[in-house]
Amino acid sequence: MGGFSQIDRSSGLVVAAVAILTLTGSLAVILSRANAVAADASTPGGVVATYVRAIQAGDADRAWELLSQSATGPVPGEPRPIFSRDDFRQQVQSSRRPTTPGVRIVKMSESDDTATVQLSITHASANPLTGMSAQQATISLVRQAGSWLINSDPSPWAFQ
Amino acid sequence: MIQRRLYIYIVAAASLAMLLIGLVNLGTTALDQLFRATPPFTNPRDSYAGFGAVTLVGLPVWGIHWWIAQRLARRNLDERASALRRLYLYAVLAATGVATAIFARSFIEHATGFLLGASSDGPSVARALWAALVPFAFWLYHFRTAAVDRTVAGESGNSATLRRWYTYGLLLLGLAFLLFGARNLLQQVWVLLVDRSETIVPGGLVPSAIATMLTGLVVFGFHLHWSSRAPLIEDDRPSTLRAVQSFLALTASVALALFGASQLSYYALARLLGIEHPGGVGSNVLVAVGGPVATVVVFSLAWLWIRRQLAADAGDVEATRQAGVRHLYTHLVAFLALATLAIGAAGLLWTISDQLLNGWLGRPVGEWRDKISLFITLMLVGAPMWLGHWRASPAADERYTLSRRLYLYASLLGSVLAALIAGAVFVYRLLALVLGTSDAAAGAPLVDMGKAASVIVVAAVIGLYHWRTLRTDSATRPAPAARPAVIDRDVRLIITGASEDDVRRLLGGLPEGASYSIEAPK
Repeated sequence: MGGFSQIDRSSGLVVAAVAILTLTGSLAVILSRANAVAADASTPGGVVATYVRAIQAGDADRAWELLSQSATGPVPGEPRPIFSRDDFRQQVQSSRRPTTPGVRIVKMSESDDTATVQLSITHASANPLTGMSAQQATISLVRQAGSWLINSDPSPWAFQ
Repeated sequence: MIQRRLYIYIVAAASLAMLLIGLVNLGTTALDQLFRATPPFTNPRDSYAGFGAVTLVGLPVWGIHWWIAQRLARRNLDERASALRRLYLYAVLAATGVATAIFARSFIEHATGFLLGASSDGPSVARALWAALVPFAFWLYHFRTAAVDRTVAGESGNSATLRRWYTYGLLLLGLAFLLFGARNLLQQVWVLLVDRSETIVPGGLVPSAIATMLTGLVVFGFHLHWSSRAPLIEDDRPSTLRAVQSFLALTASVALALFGASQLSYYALARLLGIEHPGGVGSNVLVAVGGPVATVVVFSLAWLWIRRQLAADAGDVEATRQAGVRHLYTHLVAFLALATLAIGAAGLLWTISDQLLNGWLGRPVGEWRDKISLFITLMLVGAPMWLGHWRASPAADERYTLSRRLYLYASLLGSVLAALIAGAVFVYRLLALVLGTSDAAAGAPLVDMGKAASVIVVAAVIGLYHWRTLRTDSATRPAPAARPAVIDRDVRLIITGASEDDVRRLLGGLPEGASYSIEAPK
């Protein structure tokens, strides 16, 4: 290790490994984005994808359009908050976190007018032993006037 | 004089902190306004008033006090070399260095996320860039000032120690960022490759890991190369702090590599025993093993690399130190492996006794295959590692080393403490059984006694083995060489061709109580 202008073999290997990892990581993200679920409003998966992306982009109005009336209203036996569009917008703005979680569809089931989409949400974890923490969420949808709308608790903070 | 100098540097440090906080927040508030990204419920005017005041007070106070400090240093070489001035400089370098690393990481994360399309939050990139540039500018200025001081007045004693605390602290921080970032990135790439479920958004986890890794590479790489240049390396190589830093990094790397290997074997063994979700992992085990695989790969490589660095460092100094470093490394790994093996053995006996006693007493028996897989795995990882590093009867040069004694006493202490705690639990539950407490009828105390006995057995075996080894080491220790008889009469010595100083230096090594007088020829 002679100085800043010289680089020894092991340091060179570390720099090369970091460069390869960075490129592979970037490529993996680009590929997974290319193969991501299409924002197709005619399928339950497409509606959930549009909703999650709108939430992560901070576009509360776009996400609000995908909620059914019962998703924001009271449900007997469930402590669900009653949302107005302004409440929802405020929640989306105030829950933003620096590192957005990864969201994947684990399972999807569909009948005539109802559907459920099971999601896996991966957050960066503060635990140095695990690196990330995954949790599952289930979104239920209902078909209204030919379009799929989210019927369950919208929980925007879960995707931010 | 010392009070005046203390006052100058303390006020300079405090006002510099105010100035940095003020500048960073004023800039981010202005950028938020520029990009129309002011967070809800915040008023930029409040920020301008608060942080403007902090900046307006901090700037002149720091400017005046630092100007006085610089004038003192220019006039007096002792002041330039003083430990107090170096304390100020290296404390500011550490604080601004850590702040720069944190904000630079944030900038890289947002910029990478933006470039890869994982984030659309453009203002965050500008905010993080400004927040990183402000402390970096001050770090650069103080780094240059410290370099000038070293060139003009040199650096030794406490001043050199302060520089080492800064250097090796930042080295450790950079290495941690580099290794954990690389581990997280490898894990994320693995997950993206093996998980066949449909992606909605990849999220910011890959950009976050890339940012942590790159920040670590820059911080670690810069400080490693800086501290490896002459004349710093000649000064630092024999220092204790340098060795302590390397051994801390080595201990963490070995422990994490062992942890990753254990977790990996545990998943494999549990699946062989038919456990669908070992340790409660999600539906896809291939995704779950991404973490352990990445941990093993990254921290095993770090283990090998740090071991090589330690050997290279020791190789440049005397043979005794080289052997000392080798022994310390061997005993450190042996101790970590023994801890893994002990936890595995005690856990295995605990689970078996729990199953047998609950079954015998007709109590509900819980799931055992998952736990058995975990504890067998810990034994399978710990046992070969311990056998490969521990030598019961080594050569004399290793047998009486401090690191071996530390290993033996640490193992003995751990065993005694474990046996003591488990013994107390055993007696407590025995008394509960004898006195017929509320849960005694159902047999709970007997089950707890079985668990405590498992720990006692393992602790006793390990403790007795290490106690025996300590005794054997003591018994085979060669008797200290007989002290040569003290000359109790005057000895006349004639030396020619040396100055009086040379002779005095030579005689300075005489034992306590000896005396001499020099009669130089007239």
